[in-house]
Amino acid sequence: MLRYTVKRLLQLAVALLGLTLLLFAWFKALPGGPENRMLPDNATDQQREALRRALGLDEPIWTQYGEFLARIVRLDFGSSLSSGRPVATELADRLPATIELSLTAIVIAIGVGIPLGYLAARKRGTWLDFGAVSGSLIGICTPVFFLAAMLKVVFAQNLGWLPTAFRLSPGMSYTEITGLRVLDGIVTGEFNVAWDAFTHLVLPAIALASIPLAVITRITRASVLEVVGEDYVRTADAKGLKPATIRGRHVMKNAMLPVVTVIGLLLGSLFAGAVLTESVFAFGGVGSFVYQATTERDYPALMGFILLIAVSYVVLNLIVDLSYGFLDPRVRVRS
Amino acid sequence: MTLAKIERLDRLVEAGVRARHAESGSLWRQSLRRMRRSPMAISGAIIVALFLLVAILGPWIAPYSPTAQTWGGEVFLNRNVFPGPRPENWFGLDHLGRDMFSRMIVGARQTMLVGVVATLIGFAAGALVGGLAAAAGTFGGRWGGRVEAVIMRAVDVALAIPMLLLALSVAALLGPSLSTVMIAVGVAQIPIFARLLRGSMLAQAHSDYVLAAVSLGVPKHRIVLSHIFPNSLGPVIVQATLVLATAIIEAAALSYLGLGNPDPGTPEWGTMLADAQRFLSSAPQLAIYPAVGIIITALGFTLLGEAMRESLDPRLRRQS
Amino acid sequence: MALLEVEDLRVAFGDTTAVDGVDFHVDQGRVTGLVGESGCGKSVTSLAVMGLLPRRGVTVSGTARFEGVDLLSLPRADMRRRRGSDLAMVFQDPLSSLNPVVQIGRQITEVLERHRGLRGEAARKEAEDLLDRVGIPDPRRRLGEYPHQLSGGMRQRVLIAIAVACAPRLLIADEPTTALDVTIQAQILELLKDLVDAEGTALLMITHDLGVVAGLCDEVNVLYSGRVVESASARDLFARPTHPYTVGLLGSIPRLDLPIDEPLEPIRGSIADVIRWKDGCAFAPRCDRVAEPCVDGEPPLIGTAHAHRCVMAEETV
Repeated sequence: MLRYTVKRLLQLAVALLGLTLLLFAWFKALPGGPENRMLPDNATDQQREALRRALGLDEPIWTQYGEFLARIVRLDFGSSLSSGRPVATELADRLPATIELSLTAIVIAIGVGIPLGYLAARKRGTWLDFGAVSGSLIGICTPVFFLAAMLKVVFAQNLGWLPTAFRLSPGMSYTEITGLRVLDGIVTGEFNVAWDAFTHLVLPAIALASIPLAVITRITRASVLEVVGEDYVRTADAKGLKPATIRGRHVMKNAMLPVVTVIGLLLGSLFAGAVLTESVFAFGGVGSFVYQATTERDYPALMGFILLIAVSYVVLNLIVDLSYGFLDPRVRVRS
Repeated sequence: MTLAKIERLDRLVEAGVRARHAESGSLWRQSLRRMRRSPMAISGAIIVALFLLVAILGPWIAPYSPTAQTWGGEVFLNRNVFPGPRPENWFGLDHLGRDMFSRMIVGARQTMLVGVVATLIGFAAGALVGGLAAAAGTFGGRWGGRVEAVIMRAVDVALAIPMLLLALSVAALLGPSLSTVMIAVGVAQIPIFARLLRGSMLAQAHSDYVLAAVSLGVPKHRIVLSHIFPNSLGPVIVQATLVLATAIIEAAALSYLGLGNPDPGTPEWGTMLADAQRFLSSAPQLAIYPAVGIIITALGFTLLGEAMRESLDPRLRRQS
Repeated sequence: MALLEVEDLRVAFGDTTAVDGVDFHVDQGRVTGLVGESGCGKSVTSLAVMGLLPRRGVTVSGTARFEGVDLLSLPRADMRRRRGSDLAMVFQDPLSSLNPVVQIGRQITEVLERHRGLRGEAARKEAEDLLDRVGIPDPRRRLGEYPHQLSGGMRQRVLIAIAVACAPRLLIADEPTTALDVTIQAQILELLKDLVDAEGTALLMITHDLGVVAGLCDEVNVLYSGRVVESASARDLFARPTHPYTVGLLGSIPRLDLPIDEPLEPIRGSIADVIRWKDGCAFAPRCDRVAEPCVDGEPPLIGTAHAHRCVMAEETV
């Protein structure tokens, strides 16, 4: 297990280094180069040259990359072109909202998807199975931002059951601890805050959960179907074990392996979905910020975001992989 | 990218190859026969065929010009209340007084183009990268092995970047337009295709008939080009079908993020859907038509792709 | 009275008949062989007796009386209580038959817990003893390992340990050595024989390997196309094979005591060339001695101690 972990950590380091290289290349290739974006259109050549020197753009490419790397390590992504505040601060301020939303969504997706996929497999060929399979296919094929917008129109605007936007109702006072507002509300005893934050969370979380939910349902179903046909399940049956034991220890423990892998892969689409969902509900997270940055071509903000997402994606996948190694003894030994 | 996933991917590829060896007769003919019995494949094929038909014949079927603001006056007078379905406009009018039905029909072509071009970019570049890696690794000796290792590590790094981010970065480089969307979505697919083709080619390279060809002295480049490569395409073509569905959805998302060309002359469903968000509370139908179009089309390609995959993979076939 | 008495067992998967009226019995403390080529229905027969066939799309009829109780009509919960304790099974492929993500120890103790109520350290101790009995060195350490860490022969020993954990009266072994190396095969067979001898367990040995039959079995039933075509004591069967199929099976094995240039006599055709038993002898299309009576309705079982199903046999003997 230790060797496995070390190997994964090394792979992580390589991946991150490669990523900064890609990002550096990307940054260099941006249209016009940074000096043109920072100067008015009528700047003279001397002005450009001065700026290039000031920015270190006349240095050799490797020196520039080194400085780039150093800035990244210091979390210095520059200032947002639209707000003027440091990108790192902007991101840090908004991160809790995105974490709260993504966590809720993934909890919904796992909590509903695994039981649903299991049921569909057990009741194969019934209407329940058909419903789960076709529902998840449609879920995968529905653009997230459209689903989010429709949920908002129907349940918030027309029916008025839930709030249309933001994380709290206006005028609600709130004590911040972690930034996850439902949690904070419960911890501080401000249950009205927790409830209010929760109602704001419901629709975006459902929209964001749609694709992971669909994928997890499908994979769980396929995986359970595959495992129940395995010889070791027949062995378990030949032992006369209780159905609950067979289901838990022999079917689900094995069937979960591909599901865990897929959850890791889903994190990418979860971040993408968060950008889209947050912008529909003006949720005020990283996603909303990036939506704005994209529309306004705020490159420092975009770069900070890409790095943030890439790092968290790689790190989260490392965690998923380690837990996979924990679940599957074969992986632990082989590597 | 993580080893566990890669191994799973490679296992699936291997399973497909094994199936081919286990059964006699042409692989594709057998798959076709199996697919004809699958309701999934049939419904997928019907949807895809209908979509292609509309995409090709669109401009000739559409009752009106998709760009003419024929009913502009009517729409502009009633600020943001757009007529719904009625005898002369089956799907009603859009915010500029254009016939929605015609826009949907003509828009199919551009939508198909976005999906196809994006998939082709990913497919071609991915096949080149993956094919090179596999060929170098198999026949390139020690140096080839190193080349393969470097390429595949780079691919793994790229795989670790969420697709939308790749697309976002490309779009940031090229500025907003429909071709940006196509390139962005296509580039994001390169690593997946590269991995898949390499896995599939390696499985072929280790098969007995390649060994036989090598021992007969067939030149290596001939073996790669005329044996290994064509025989490895099965899983890649399946993936391409699935990617086509994703590409159409992702393109819509990029348009929504403002990276597409807002309302170009020729209609495209993703752009239409993104544009319609502004009028969602007053005229949700403007979003629903293109959304339903996208969902059904993506569903068709997904069904077809999944059915193809099942018919190629004996492990999956057994249970369904 | 026989320990297990199978009568007119029929199993069909949809329209395909796999077992077509099999009769045989297993006596207390004896080793009974069920022999035939792949596809003759021998494995399906054993799964039917164990109640392990999937319920979906499978029809089973006939009786399988175990100590007088028909297993086939037993409620599922009752059958589940008997499986693993009264009758147990060893499977063909030891790697795929063990759960890859559960420790060996757990896979043994769970059956002790279920049928003998052993828990905790008592169960672990018993599991350790079991591993020791099936000849696995350093059993305490092995309990914490996973199937992939063991060799093929070891895995099969673990499966055997699981099967004998609750001292079953009937042990069914479905090709237990087919997936193993030749040198390991002999060890595993030896182990099985020792275990059933020591406990007086009856063993139903399912195999295609006549060598295994010769070395292990007291009684033999030869299966062809889902039906028993010859049934005798092992000694009798090898001395006087009567059904042409049995003769053919014996003739297709290389023997050391014959000249090296003596050609082997394979059976013509394949098991796919069959006619339905109710129309005549299923082996007729592949038989050298085929004649008119062979395809004249269902061939009866002739004889008692050494029974066979060949209408032509009397004329040639």
